[in-house]
Amino acid sequence: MNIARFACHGLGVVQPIDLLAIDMDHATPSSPPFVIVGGFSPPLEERDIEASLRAAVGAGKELVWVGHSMGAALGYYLPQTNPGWKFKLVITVDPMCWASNIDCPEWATAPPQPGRWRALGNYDRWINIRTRMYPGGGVLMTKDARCEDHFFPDCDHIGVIADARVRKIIFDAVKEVA
Amino acid sequence: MSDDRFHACLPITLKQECPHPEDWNNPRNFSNDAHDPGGKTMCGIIQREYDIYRKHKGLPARDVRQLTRDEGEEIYDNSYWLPECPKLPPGLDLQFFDEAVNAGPHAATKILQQALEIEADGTWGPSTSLAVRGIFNPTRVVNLYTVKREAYYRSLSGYRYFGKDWIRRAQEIGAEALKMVGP
Repeated sequence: MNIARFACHGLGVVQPIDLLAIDMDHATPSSPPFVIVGGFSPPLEERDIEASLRAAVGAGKELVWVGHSMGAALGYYLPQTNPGWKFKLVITVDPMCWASNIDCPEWATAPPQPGRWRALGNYDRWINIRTRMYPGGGVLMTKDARCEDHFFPDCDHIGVIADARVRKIIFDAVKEVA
Repeated sequence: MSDDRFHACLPITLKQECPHPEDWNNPRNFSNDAHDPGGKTMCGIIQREYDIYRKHKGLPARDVRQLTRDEGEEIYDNSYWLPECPKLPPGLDLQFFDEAVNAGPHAATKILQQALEIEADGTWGPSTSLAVRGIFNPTRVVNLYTVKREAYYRSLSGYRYFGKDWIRRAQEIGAEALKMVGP
């Protein structure tokens, strides 16, 4: 399959995504390795990260995105601002409860509700995983057969990535598009 | 430490990073802002960065609250001031340094290239060095850097949440930079 895979850190939190990406690479050896992005500050690196994805799309690839926290938020913003890009899979792990992408173009007149996120753009499958722990907890509001919203109230914002149930959801989905 | 310019610029950037830049041990310089999911930050240095620094030195990891002034200055010097800032004229070195601290050296370089009106790829190569050596009107470049920095921030999705602070910072640093350019 002609895909490019990206794993994006949250701000200042790298180890959980690093480890997850390594394990996902091992679990899917026939697919290209995950490119890890967002190691500095995902909101401020958006343009560079976007350029990496654009290069992949330009090479004819479809995209897989796994992002945590602010990297999850970018997982919402990038397909929204690049509706021509094809995402095979988007996994957003605990996006922020204080931010949103809903009604982005109408921000000035219809402020989004914090913590409510909407899957936008061109995607095959979207999985949102959330905790109840601030600053995570963002909910995927899109009601669509391609979208899933999984709630793990017993997990914390950082530890959620290492949770066995969460990893099973992520790995099953990643293997499906490998 | 690199030079006098580093010590002139660091306190100005530190003012943007923490409330008591003159006192590295002040507990109020520690933050664990929920908007920064990375969590613990001391004088603008995040725990992860401190861990990498300590590991590189062969030292055991410890809480970033134990960051010393010498350690902090070394991190800022090696990670953000060097290698490019000493090549820049006064004022522009502050802007570049501050943007490197805030958004990373790649973004700082890209904005500099835009201010120099050369191709902006974020990589410092011969054409950037040449353009820097050819600066004959630093005031204009400093002003352009501020404008391009603001435009960069406005282009980001996070602008709606962080934009006010980002723009304030760009303008304050731009004003400080102009003072350094001189008449």
